[in-house]
Amino acid sequence: MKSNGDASDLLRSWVGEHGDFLYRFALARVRDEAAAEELVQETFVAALKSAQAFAQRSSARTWLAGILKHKISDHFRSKWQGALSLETGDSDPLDEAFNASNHWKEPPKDWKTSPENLAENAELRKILEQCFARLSGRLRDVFLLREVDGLDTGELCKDFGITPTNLWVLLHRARHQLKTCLEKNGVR
Amino acid sequence: MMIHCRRASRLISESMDRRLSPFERAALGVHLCICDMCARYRKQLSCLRDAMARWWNRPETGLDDKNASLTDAAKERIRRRLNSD
Repeated sequence: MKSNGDASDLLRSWVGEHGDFLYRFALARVRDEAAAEELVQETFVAALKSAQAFAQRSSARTWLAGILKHKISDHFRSKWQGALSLETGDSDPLDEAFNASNHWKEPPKDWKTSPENLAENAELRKILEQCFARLSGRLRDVFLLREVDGLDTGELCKDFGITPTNLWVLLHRARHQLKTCLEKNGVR
Repeated sequence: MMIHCRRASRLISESMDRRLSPFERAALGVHLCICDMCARYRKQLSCLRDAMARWWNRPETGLDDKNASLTDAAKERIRRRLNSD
């Protein structure tokens, strides 16, 4: 991109080309139409400011989605405002899983299902969906950014203002709760 | 070098988020050789990660309306912001 005027023209054309994709991406994560629209707008504005950094070798959509992920993470930070820190009184789902000598109370089952099957088979996907819906709000949001969107844990800690240990514990809880729920619903 | 299952489960999850120290890697490796249950747990968490990514790559995941889109007015607002900035 040569001048700022060129960049601005190009980005305006991208609003039509990628705007809806980015909007659905944001809406699925933040579940709030007004917020999703705002995040898409902020993404385009940020993209214009760093248009020089855009290398043609990555696709425009991937580049914009990369910016949007961080806008979403900022959105979650203000939404949770410190509620992402572990409170001493928090119940830990891992306490349920182990006995006093730190062995499994209920041995993990030997899963035969493949990830493809779990995500594509209509019946299994429904279970995955229901179990995911049962994660508490903050676990859901953090888990999504990390596990699905692949944000780096260092960046997430910075975005959320929490310690790495704090983040690792939240992620372990989310994974453990999901796995336990899937097993309870017959996933093997 | 011996760690119990609770510690192992934590290291299994954390290995998905950070690089374990050489000591942690060795301790977890030894534990997984002798503990089928934790080996299964590791397999489960890794299956879960892949399944989640696949599921969320489906265009309708997380949306009530898979065709949800920006209104024309919203697109126009964004284009105007790009002009004025």
